[in-house]
Amino acid sequence: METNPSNTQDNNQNSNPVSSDIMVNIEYISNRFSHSPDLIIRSFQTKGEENVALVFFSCLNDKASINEDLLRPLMFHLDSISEIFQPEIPLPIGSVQKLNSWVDIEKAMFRGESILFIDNVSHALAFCTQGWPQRAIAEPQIESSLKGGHQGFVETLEINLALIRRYVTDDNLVVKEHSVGKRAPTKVYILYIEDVVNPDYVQEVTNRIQNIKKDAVLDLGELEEMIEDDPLTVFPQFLISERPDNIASNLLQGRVAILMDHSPNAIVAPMTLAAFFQSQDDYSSRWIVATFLRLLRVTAFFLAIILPSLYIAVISFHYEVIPLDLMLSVGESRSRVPFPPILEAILMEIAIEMLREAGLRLPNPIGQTVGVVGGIVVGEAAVQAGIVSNIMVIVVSVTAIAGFIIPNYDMSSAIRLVRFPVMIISALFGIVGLSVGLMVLFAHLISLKSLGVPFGSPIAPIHLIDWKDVFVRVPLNWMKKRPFSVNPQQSRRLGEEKE
Amino acid sequence: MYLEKSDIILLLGIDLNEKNELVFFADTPVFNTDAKKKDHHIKVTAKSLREARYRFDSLSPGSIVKGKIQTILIGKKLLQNRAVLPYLDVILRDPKDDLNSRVIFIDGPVEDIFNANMSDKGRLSAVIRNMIDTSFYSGIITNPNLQQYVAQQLDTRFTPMVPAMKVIHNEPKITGMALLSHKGFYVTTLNLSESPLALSIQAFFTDKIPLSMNITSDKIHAKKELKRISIQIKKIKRKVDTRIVNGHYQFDVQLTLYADLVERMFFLDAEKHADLQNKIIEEQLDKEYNNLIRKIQQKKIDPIGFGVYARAFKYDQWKKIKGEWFDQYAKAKINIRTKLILINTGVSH
Repeated sequence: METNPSNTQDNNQNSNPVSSDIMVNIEYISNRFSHSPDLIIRSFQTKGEENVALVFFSCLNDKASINEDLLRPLMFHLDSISEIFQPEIPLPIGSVQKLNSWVDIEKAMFRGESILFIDNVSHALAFCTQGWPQRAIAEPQIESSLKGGHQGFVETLEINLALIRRYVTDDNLVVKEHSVGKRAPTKVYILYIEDVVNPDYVQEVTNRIQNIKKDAVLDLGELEEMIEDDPLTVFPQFLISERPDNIASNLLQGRVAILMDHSPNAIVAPMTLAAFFQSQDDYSSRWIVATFLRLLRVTAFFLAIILPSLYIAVISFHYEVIPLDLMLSVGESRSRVPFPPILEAILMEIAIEMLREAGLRLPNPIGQTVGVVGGIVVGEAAVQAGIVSNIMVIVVSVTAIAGFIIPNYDMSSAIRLVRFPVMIISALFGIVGLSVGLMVLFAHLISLKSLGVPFGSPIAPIHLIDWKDVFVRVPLNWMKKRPFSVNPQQSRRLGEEKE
Repeated sequence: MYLEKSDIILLLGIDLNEKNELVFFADTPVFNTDAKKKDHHIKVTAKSLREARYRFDSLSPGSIVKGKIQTILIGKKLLQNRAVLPYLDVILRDPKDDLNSRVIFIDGPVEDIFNANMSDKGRLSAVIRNMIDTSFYSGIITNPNLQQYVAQQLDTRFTPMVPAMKVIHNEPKITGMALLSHKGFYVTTLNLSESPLALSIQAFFTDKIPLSMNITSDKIHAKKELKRISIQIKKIKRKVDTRIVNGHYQFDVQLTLYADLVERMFFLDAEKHADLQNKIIEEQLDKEYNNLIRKIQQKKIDPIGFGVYARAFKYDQWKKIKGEWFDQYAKAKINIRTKLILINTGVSH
């Protein structure tokens, strides 16, 4: 771990070495943490009658481990404290570190280690006795899995790393540790497979993470915003996933993953637009079914963006293009609505967005009720009352459903947002406006970059070889190479070498 | 203006009234569910379609839209006195307008269609369109759209053929195909048993062509009213031999019809006399074809399109006769010989 002396407020005092007088040390510690009621300073005499003090935060340490593995041997078993300075420390503790400076001691304490001060010894010992409230590994909430593993990331970095290591049991899997945040440093791991990944990406990610100048970074979503190429767009340029199998698959394709402590997610970079339409389940489903789903998602992507706009443009300007029978029924249904189509559409879209957000914030059983009440009661009543036409209700519902098909939450939110400006431009200029809106949208999409990789790849710029995993998912036997758009060092997947 | 606030002309009618004034009719759907009638009929007299549009506007609650005209009805009186093409210019000129409108000849005043009984059918504009479309798909009539009609009208090699409708006892009915002259005037009508014949000589084909005929041959001994055969043509092969004989065109048409026998009202032991059955139908078809050709040759119109062959295969002669094809056509000799191949004769008991 890199240590940065400027991390603490008082440079001179903190870089002081530990005193050999235990009373000085205890006094220093109690002054430093006078506002921490969870600080425990346990002074006692060992079996050999040396004065020692064990200092730790009660909330970050495992009490059983401290009592059984530290206090009991020190008080009753070890004849002399000098035994613990031998190379084979006779204590059942995994990791023991010698610490000299206060900076390191404070960091260790916040990591959840317990510190032992010994009278007449000018350094302290840090014992790995961490234990804090942890959530059990559970099924991922946002990206539910059909066939893949049902374990999702949790808030502890080590557990998350363990979940990934279980998938990628390769000695080339590199984990680089960094820390972000000046006031509350947080551990960040950069993961990649050394002989696969393009080293430029690792360098770029490392630089961007080291350049973060922030008090604290609480969540991976914040971290993403600080390191992404263009924070001013609605489209996510990195994938945030809570599924270790997804991360493992992306690592194996030659991407870089970023894990952060207390965030139950991982970032994958570089990402392309097409990769947001892939779901890990595609590879475990039959390839024909997976291909169908891919095409369905692409259709849904377009529907979610243009369906309401197309409806508005056609109803406002180009009713000649509607087939006669449909036109008659649309006209009859519209005739009772007192608003212009754009207002009608915006009204319904906002209603459905509010429903979605309300359902999300409420506890699960109530959330469902809100969905039913909103969907059926409000929709039906609005049509009955003549506020919206029933065709509009269909359009909005289909659009909403299409928006939710996209497997990634960030991308699906972006698409839902993008349709509002497209709707407005269609209401002003009809199909011409819609076309111009889409042109601007796609120009924007292909101008984006993720870690310098064109976001539109492999569609624009075109790499036909990668199309085996874009709109279709060909049988796995045919995918002998890693995606070209990720530009890996080792393009042929190991074990697939030509004989 | 939004969809529901527009008056979209779905059916356009053009005719002459008793005072020989040009009358325009329009039918627009009424979207307002409070209105008792689903259609709004407008009738104006005007000098041109564009002028009529302003008059329509002044009579309609919404703004008139003419981009979705489904059907154009043209009255008999108008076509007897004037060609209709100049009156359609405004539709042809505006690229936003629909060239897919069906063109229909009305045998009688167009106003009858607008007053026809629709209480058991639905919206007038949809009913008329559906009537024409279903007859087209069952192979009885052709269904030229506006663009095709204009192309036929301007072509020097053949003359237009449009569906004909008539209102009988307040009910609209398809009566066959109206044949127009090259100048655009009404000439004659093919009835519903003649028009499938005309279509089969043209080898114009959608899916099937039904033919039903009385057998006049004396090789069959049955009561006169029972000497009837119906076939359904499934496929046509046509070979046209174009020649010049004595300075006149001669067309030898060899038609091979692949058909199903769908009805035979008299007894014939088809196992023993398989050839006889084919032969009497072929003879009967030859006779009917020649009657039809004679009928249209006398009127100096060429809806079948022999002019296409005349120009394509004997261009020297075509240059000599210049624009006089239809006069030449009346003098041409046209031999039609039919070969029938029955694919399916159905169940015999």
